[in-house]
Amino acid sequence: MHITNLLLWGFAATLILTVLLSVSRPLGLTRMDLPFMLGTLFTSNRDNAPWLGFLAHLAMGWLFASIYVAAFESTGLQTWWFGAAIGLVHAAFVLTVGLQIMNYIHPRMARPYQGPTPTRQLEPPGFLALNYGSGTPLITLIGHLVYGGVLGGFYS
Amino acid sequence: MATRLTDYTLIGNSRAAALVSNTGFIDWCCLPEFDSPAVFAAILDKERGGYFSITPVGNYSSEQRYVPDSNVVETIFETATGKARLLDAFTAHTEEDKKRTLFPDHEVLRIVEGISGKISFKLEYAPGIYYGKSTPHLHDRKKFGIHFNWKEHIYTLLSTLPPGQLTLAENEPGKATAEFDVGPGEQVIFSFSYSNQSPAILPELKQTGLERMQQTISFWKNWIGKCRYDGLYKEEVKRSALALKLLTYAPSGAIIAAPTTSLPENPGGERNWDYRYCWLRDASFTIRALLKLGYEEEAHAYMNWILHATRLTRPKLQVVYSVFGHASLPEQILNWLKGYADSKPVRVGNGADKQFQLDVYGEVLDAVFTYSPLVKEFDRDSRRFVIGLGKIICENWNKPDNGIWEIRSSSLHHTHSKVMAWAGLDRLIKLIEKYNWPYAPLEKFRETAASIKNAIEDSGYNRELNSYTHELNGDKLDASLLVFPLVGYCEASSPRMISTIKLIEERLAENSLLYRYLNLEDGLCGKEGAFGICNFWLVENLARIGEIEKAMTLFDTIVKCAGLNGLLSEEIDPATYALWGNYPQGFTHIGLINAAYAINEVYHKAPVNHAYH
Repeated sequence: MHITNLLLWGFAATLILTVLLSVSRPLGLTRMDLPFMLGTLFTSNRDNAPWLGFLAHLAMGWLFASIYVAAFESTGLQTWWFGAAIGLVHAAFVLTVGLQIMNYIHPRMARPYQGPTPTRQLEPPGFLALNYGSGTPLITLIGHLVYGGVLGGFYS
Repeated sequence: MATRLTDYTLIGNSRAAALVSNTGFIDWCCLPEFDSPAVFAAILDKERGGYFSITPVGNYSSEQRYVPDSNVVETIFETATGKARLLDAFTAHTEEDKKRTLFPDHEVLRIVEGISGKISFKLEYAPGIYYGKSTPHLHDRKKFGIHFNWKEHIYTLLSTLPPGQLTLAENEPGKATAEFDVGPGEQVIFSFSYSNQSPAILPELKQTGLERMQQTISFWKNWIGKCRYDGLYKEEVKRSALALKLLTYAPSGAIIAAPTTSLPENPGGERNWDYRYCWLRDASFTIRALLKLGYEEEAHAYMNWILHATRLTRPKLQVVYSVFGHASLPEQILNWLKGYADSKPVRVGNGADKQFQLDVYGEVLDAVFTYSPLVKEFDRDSRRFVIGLGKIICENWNKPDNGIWEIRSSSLHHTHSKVMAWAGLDRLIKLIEKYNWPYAPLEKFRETAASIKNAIEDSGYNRELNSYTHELNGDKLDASLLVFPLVGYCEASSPRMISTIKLIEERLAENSLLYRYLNLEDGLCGKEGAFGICNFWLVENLARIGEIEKAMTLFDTIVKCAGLNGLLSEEIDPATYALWGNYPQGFTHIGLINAAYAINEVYHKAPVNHAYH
């Protein structure tokens, strides 16, 4: 395992994923803001949440990159398309399981069955995170395909 | 003949709601959310819609009201042989309570309790799939209840009746029935629950059913106990607060306009709309009402919803959003339903999502300003958002729009929209000055606000009529002009406003009740009723100009139109005082709360708090 490559391309892939998600918000494709969601795990200060969340997102990006790299090493396939294939699975996991788990561990997120007490600030993501806009599954999928493709294409 | 709206009472859990009639019928219930397809929709079609009834056998009389200070409904039945009561509620628990036990996503609890003598009851459970489009296949799972599922949704009816008493109807597919007697002190409990996970959670009834009802009553009593209001019309204000809470969608903080769709604005008419969504138009009056009542948590949640829900369309705002900020709400007609009082079409979705309403920018900015004492500082994103709204106003204030009444047939230069544009900039300027936000184009906002005010005073006021008018350079009136003093554009006691109020009363009132407009082409057939909130705006204005007795008389007239349960719909027929339109209507109840406050302030000669000066 090439640690330097892992760190470098894990960082680059996470950055590209973050940019894709950020750009898609002003374009009206999704309201999902992963760094904000991660940041509010630690703080309710909305000015601090984005950068704290970005650091957490970066750390998670490296963590997931190490899993991708383990798969590359194990199979001997270090190509963009294999990285993208893992990205597809990764996106499916995030949409169907990851965000649902976050819903239950996040201290400032409403549960789907919460009420009549008021919400704890953040809306729950719902099925395939569709509560954050109908384009959310597509953007999440594209983001993770690119993330995997960058890792697969450049890690060697 | 359709059941009168006043004979229906709303139950709910701030995520879903149901209407229970004073004859023991649940005729409207959408699950799992307010805008989900209805399981019971008999209010829109008695034959196909689906219902869940518990009524005495034979002749009876009945009366229905809320258990005091709660959203639990009590229906008292009396027959020749005895007296009994039916308690209906969506179970409601605190989040702490929920941690202690498993509970289904939603549970409607119905408890029949004998008071005196003996009464025989008949139960009919006939749910429908997708607003009654098809009949569900019911399974009798004996002590595990009558069960059916549709897609991932699981619905279960349980009871404390002896085995075999609640059974599937032999010759009527999709229906379950039961007959039972209750004597003094005897109770029979029914639970209709919803889950979307297998295994579904089946609530226990015999040991804990009563306790859950008691917990629900306690929940509501605790909640309304936090209401700060203690003046005239206290009971009406508390009921309105409780109704507003039922229209709140707890997981996102949104507040829907009403829990129903297509209840018509006149019998047999086509003015039938889906109100199970959130209108930004309501924002400023809603926030004010919540803060006056002391419900800061709800105000935080609602403002948080506004800031998040609008992200998909920023910096532009839509007229209406779903509880999760979905911006597209395509309209669809359910042609298999006859409609309430044969009023077709029955619509779901709402085409108002595509309209341009300039006033919503002002209403949202006013809401943000009203909310601002609750926050020390707005974060960067919220600052950008509100300043962006100001820029949109500057770019669009001199364009025609569909206006507050969402008239579909034409775009006009509505005077009310211009006033709200002015109010939006006025609040934004105050916010910028208060928080000292850098880089905000303060001078541009000031200049535009002045230009808007000049345009309104030059062209929005007709000197021949001595009145502000519906549109610039127009000669017609509509009740939205009553909002001007309420948003701080002018004093109610200003000469221009006093003459406007007088003319509005002359031209738009019938039998003491006010229409929102008359003789305006709105592209629809038929006439609508008097508009609930406009009457409360008039009450506020009358109170502010010192006509307190007149204000109180009008207030009483409207309140009397509600049934024993105190709920009001969107409109009232001035000829019969019957309620029409979607029911209950949050906007009307918000109007009631704000009007009661205005009367109370003037009545007690308390200093009038105009928050804008």
